[in-house]
Amino acid sequence: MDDKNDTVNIVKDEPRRNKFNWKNFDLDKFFKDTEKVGEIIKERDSSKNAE
Amino acid sequence: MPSDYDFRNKFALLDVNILSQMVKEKRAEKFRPVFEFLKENNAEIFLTDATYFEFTAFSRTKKNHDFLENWINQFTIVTSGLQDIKSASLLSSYYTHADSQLNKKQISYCDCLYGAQLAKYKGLAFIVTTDMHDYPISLFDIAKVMIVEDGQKAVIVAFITFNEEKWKIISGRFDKSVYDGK
Repeated sequence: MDDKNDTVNIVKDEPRRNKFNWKNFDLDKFFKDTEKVGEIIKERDSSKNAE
Repeated sequence: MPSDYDFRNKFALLDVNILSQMVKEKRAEKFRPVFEFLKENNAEIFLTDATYFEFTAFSRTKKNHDFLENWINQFTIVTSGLQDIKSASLLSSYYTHADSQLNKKQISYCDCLYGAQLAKYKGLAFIVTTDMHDYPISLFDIAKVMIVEDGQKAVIVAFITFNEEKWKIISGRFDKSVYDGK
């Protein structure tokens, strides 16, 4: 793909690494927290829809 | 469906829809096999800023906002610059060019941003989505699917990858296309 056609931003570098690390990631806590997120979002969306 | 894609040490772009599915009806745990697969492959999870907004915006209290922010901040958030937005716009045109019958309501701006990120990082990244129709197979591949069962319901989780050959064909055709007079 030449430069002229390469208007979709294709690069060879990577997103910033090491923000996310499986060693520090507790899956059990994540799933538990995700359920809490669901409750907050359900409440938020129901109040948004009611307006 | 290609199955030879090497998922190890790649970047996993979590689509907003998989997170939306997970937060519904307390069924996050059902998605454990998906996250175990990502962990086994040491995939670094990242999200777009549009997904960040989707999950943290319109909080009614600071406590709720902080909880949502802490939850989503566990992942790498990629910010969209002007070039990414331009790429997403162009990508949407590739979709329409490849399929004139495409339902434009099916694919959102957020989906196009994800597609643009996938194109940007090429073979280094893949998208994890619960709606494979958001990423037309005219441009992308479905490298893997997993079925998440939840009682009577099943959610299909697709792993979408970049296909350079398809990309060259569609972008080449698009670049040569002219006003069709309609």
